[in-house]
Amino acid sequence: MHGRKKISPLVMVFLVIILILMLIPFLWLMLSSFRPNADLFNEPFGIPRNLSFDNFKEVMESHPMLLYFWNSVLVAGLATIISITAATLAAYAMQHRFMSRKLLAIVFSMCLFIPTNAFMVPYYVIINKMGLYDNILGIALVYAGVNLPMSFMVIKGYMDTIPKELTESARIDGADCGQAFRKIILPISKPGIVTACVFLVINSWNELLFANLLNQSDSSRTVQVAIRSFLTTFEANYAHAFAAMVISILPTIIIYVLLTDRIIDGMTAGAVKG
Amino acid sequence: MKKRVISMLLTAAMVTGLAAGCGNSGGKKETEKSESGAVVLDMYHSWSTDSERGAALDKLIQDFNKENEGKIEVKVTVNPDFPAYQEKVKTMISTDTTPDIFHYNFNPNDLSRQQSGKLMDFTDYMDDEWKGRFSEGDLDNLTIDGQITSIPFEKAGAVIYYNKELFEQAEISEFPKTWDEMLEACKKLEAQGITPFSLYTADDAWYTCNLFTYLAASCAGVEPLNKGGSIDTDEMKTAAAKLREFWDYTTGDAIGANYSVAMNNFASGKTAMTIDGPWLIGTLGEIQDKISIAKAPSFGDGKVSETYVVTDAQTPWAAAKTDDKEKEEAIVKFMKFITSEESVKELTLEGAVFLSPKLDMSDADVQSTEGLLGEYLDIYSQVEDSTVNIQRNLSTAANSKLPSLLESLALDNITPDEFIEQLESENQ
Amino acid sequence: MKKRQTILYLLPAVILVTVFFIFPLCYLIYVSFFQWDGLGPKVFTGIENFKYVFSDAIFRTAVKNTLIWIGAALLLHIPFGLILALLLNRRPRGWKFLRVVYFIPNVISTTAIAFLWYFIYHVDVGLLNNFLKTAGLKGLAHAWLNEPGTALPANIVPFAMYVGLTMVIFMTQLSTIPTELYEAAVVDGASRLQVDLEIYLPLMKPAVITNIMLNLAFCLRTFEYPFLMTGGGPANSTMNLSLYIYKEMVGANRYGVSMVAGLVTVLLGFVVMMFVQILQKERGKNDAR
Repeated sequence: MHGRKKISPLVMVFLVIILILMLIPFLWLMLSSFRPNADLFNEPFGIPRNLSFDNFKEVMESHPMLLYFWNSVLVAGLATIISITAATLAAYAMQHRFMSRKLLAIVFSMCLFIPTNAFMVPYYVIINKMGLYDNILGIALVYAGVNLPMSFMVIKGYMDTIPKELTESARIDGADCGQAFRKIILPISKPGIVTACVFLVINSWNELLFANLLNQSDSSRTVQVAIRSFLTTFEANYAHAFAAMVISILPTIIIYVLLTDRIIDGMTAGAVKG
Repeated sequence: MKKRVISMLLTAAMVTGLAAGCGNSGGKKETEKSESGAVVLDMYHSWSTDSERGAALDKLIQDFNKENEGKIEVKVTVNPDFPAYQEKVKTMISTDTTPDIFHYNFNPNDLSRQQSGKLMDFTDYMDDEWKGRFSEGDLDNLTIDGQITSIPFEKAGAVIYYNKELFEQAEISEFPKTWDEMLEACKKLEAQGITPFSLYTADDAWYTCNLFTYLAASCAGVEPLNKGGSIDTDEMKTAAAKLREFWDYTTGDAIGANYSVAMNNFASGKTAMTIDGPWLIGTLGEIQDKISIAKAPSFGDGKVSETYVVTDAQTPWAAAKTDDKEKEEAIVKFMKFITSEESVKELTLEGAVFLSPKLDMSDADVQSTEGLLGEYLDIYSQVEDSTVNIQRNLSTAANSKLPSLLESLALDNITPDEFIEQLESENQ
Repeated sequence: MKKRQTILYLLPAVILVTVFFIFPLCYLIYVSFFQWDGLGPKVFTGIENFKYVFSDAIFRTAVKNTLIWIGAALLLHIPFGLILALLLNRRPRGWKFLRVVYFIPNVISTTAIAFLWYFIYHVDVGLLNNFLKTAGLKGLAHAWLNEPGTALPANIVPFAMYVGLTMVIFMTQLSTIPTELYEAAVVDGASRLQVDLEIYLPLMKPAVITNIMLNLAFCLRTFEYPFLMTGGGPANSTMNLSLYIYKEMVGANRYGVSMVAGLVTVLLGFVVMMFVQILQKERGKNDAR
């Protein structure tokens, strides 16, 4: 434990100022989302009056927000399942010796450094050829692929810390590889896997570029693509845009508040390995 | 535990299957039928049902569906963001998911859609009666390589709307007849703290291009513009220089603003003028009484006739090619319906749209139309010259560079001459 | 583990990597030699696309801006994240709460943050201009996103909100430093600042490298800010590589040109990787000493 020394008031003031700078934009957003559009234009800085849920109601009524939400959940869920499954299986296989192991490890880590934004056209062509354009599965597959190197590194990093004796003792007890994987490795690796899941879910929920590129109709529109369209369609109703933004960020904030440590772990583990 | 592993493996197998199946599943769509056995037509358009024209179109589609109950059902997907809508349509054509019915901006310099081989050819269905609904010129323009892959539909004129109240405030009694008078008027408005023009540069920079085309038509006359060819001419350079002059009389957010922002500036009474299509009328709301439509100014040198108008691109309907005769006939039936005299009248009067298929101007209902739409129709009945907005004939690449070039012009990063030269070089 | 089993376990991951990394890379190289509008046939044009891209002033702006992004990110995040981490490491009252709040922007979508700042900068309804007006500084009010002088900085500032991630990575590293070091220093009469500068700072190198990498990777990927806030304007002053790729593809339908820009981005990524590898080797040498 670090000693709790006296903290100078100056430091405290600095930290609080940063805190306020971080929070003001969000507080302003929340407040604005409850104000009518006309007020935003006429007295943007005025004392908030006429607060109401009208913006939220109108947004929910005029746009299928629930559907977009559901799409986002599905995309994030599918991407996570696909990517984590592939990464876990591969990470386990990498615990064993085989010929091209080194090469594979290099390929995987090289992929980490590829800015996948450069692959806009290829992804677009691939997903089209699969017949998955404007399909939730298409978007989820891209996320699963793009995030695979990262999930692989996180999970493998965790498995590497498992003592070899554990797997070997299982072998002696007569368990075959599959059993050792299921009975021993999987339960022990759980924290690493969960960490990778958190990372994937947040990334997938927040992604815009590919979701936008591969979407055409409501049936596969995610929340991020939906709020993007709020500004570009005919009505420049900022109050509605604010309400939609609040709706889109609320779930992540709630999950964050509930799972703070897990999420910070997940995001930083992903980052540290990256 | 076991179950979980199995499900994991199944997912893995699914991924594998998908990857392996790459290329197999992208083929032709099968004809969709509704539960009642009706042919389902997927229609994709950009007219939001919140707008007057969207509501009018929607009503017509519902009428059509009712009339053909059990036989044809038109299902609509709307994307009101027109620039994004156009990109999506191209995407859909390239991915073999072409909507059964859709509209798009026709551009004689970008025939990628028509030449994709994925659009339905209406030639065999174009009987004399149907042909009679359109002007010959429109049909000729849309006949590409001997095929009629598009049905002329919307061809709206972009006219100058002005706010009478704001003009009165600035003590301008008469709408300017020449561009020099216009400049004077702008100065007077500005002196009263009123921003004269709504312009914008994002997406297609349409308002700005409308003004530019009006200026170009005044400089060069409509003939050379309609002939096409290089835009690198002295007249165009003069027009660009004039555009730069007028840029000083627009809103601070014009650079980077999009249609909705600029349109809102006019509709909320912040700006005194805008150049927009007839659909603006429906979105004006309460302010409508204060708005009037004016004839465009000229340079007073007779280069262009007294009443001339810049129109938006021809926006025709097109359809996905299909092997299914039944579906083809259903599409033709809908096209004939939507271009019929009844439909056109309803769309014009209820939806305030201006269409290519002929509208009987002597019709009593049309003649007695009042308000802004009446003014609009009135101007239209006097039009002597017209030309299409310049950008609608530019290549896709030049169009994509247009916003940044306009911004550079506005910021004096490039001269009007350079603006024209760079636009032409992108247009190659 | 049997060979067949190993292959089976590796298969899904190998397929994903092939489909989403190896094939796209090959495809990128291949199509960059063609003229293609996405709809019609591909026409072989040799190195025409490369010629076009490298002579395109907008592309040069895109590269320049991407590099500015990287520079700004490093200058903003590394010192700030480090200072915050060192301060929170002193465990002031409520440091856990502060850590949680500082980290919040990282769980919010870039789309939402970009939009939020779009409105903060808005000429009329924006928080910033209205604050300046209220504070009597009307002269400082700007059309922030519409003026070429302020647009790029205005694009980059929201990115400062992500400093929480950099900070947490530094804090993780700090927590691995044994407390004995600190206690011994205190016994020797060192001030808190001295401890930070002389003991902690030199031990932070691995975290610094991680953070550099992270910020570099983020900047190469940045798309939402220019896309949503300025569309790359005014007059391309906020154009970056991701947006250039996007615009050439979706806007101009010049897929080949878009591919060339993509290739440059990938190469830039590799250069970054080499750079980091060298840094890491350096670190190994230092550790060995």
